[in-house]
Amino acid sequence: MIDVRVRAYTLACAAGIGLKSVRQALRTRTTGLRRNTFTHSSLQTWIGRVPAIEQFKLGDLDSKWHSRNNILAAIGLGQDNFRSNVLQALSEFGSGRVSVVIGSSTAGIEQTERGYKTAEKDGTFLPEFWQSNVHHYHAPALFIADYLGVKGPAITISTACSSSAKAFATAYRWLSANITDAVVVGGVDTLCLTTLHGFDSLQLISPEPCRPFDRCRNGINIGEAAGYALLVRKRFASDRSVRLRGCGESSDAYHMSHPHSDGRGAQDAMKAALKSAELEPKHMDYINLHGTASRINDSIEAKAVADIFPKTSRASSTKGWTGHTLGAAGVVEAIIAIDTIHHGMIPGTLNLEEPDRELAFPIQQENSEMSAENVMSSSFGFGGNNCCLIFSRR
Amino acid sequence: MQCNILGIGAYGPGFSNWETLKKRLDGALISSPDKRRPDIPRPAILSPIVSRRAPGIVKLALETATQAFDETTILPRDTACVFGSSMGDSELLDYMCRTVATMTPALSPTKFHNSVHNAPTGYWTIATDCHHSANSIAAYDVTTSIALLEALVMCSVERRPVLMVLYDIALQVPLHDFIPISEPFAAAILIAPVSEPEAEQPNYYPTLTGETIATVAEWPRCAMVAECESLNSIYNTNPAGRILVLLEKISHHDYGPMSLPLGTGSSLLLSLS
Repeated sequence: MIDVRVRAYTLACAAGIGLKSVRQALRTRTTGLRRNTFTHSSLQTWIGRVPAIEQFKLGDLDSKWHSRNNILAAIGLGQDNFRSNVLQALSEFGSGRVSVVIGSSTAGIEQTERGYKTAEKDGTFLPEFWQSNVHHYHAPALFIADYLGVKGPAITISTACSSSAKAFATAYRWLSANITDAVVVGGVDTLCLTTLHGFDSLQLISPEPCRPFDRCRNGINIGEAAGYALLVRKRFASDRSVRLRGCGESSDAYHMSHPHSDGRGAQDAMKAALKSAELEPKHMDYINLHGTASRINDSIEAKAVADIFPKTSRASSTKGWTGHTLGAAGVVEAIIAIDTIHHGMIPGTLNLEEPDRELAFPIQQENSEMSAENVMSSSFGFGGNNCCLIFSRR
Repeated sequence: MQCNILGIGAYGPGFSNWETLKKRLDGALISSPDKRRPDIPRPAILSPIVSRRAPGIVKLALETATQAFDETTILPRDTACVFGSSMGDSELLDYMCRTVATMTPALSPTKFHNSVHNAPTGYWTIATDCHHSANSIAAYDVTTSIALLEALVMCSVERRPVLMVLYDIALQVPLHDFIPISEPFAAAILIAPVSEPEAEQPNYYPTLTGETIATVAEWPRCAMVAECESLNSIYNTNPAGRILVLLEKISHHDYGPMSLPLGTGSSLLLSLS
């Protein structure tokens, strides 16, 4: 097994811009969720919005790249010296040996929606929306590669809510196959009308702040986020860097939008991740669950976890801080999990007030001050697409 | 990275499988369209009920995916997959953008869950009871070369057969104004590790070798594709159609190396043997 290390990482989401502010929000149990003011409709819900997007300017890049998603992508790259870490990798390995692997479910669609909304009577876009680099799925990876000067392969992975978790699995394989020396891996997804109204049509949206695993949970809150990690082989990383120790991917092969009732696909992904990490379930100090606060999905996930892990394992959902950031959820929660190794605080589950006694696994409510050696993060998406990641101190 | 090619599927204007596409690539029947070909295929792998509900792009992708297994004993359920499309289901994108632009944005829940980029991947894994890794990727104008790279890497690192499916459908106004994909096209290639014992390779399919190099490449010109107006249009405007450069070489037993663009300073060097 190849030893892949996280040389740098960062996160921008509703809970905070940059790791310092995210840590502060987690520690003080301060949510980033707010009442929906994004849609100009009567949609009653709470959202994990990043207000900084509306103030940020892309400057010279604006006409070619302007979109809510690309702006959030740029904000994220600007945190925690991430961009300078990538620039250093470019000079170290050469720009053609650095790659970009980004997960996104909506990519530039918010900009496409605006184009449609303001279109001429005959349906054509106004000139400012004639952006051939923005209105397609690959927009985020293309923008990030251009913004950073990365000239190696760039790929966008779009498997709904497992997108940016699977980005880590692809990056891991690319480093294993030695087709690249450093990978900017991550995910960007932004609020848009399609996902808000789409999840509403499926009756999955909560009119209140989401309450993962609570007895009274009643749906998800949609959020937006950009998160990144710079992955390299061990010999190019410091001794302190966290290891991407295992990845597990699976398909439910069951239904387009409902998980398998026994959580079989979720279990397959967790077992595959443990196998590739060469770890036993008892070794996992913390599991960051998908935990969207959907009634059915949370109970199936708890069952899947209970069948594999001892009930003493700490497991929580952090979506009460960030909302469900869809294609970015994988990287958001991977970064939160990685950070528990460095910063000695394992988050509990915000808004979980009354645990659901029907659940098969005890979910951690409160934060705990302890440092973790091995952590796992799980992501499950439409189409029955699952991915689990394991990170270790060494 | 090296793998055996075990099967090919294809569907597009004037051809409904690899055999009929190959005839066109070999220079025959260039002006006579394949009359048996319906506009939207009905892949045998989908039940009639599912087929009625599935979007056209799903059926297009799954038709070629199914064809790729026609000549092998390898089963889809034992195969990982990489589905690649630059625009995904642009018909549903159009529907959603039009609907949310209205004052009462009521979306169909079925259309919404079918709109995810990985819808064909989901339908495929459900239809074939495949529980393995199923990837759905996009890379705009280099979707073909990036999907090939991802499939080759997956096959050589995971040591498992991998199905690669490429598909893009025609875009509507307004996006067609600046992303001019005018005709649907899909192709699928089934690959397996060269060491795979049960993977008996039909002897008319070659072995594919690939590596990345840190130099710029342009999409090569394909001689026979350039002779045929409709194939030439697919090759130059439909991102999935870029696979014709490899399919032409396979068809002609032309085993010289070729470089395909990946990033702005990297390319995929492929050769057949």
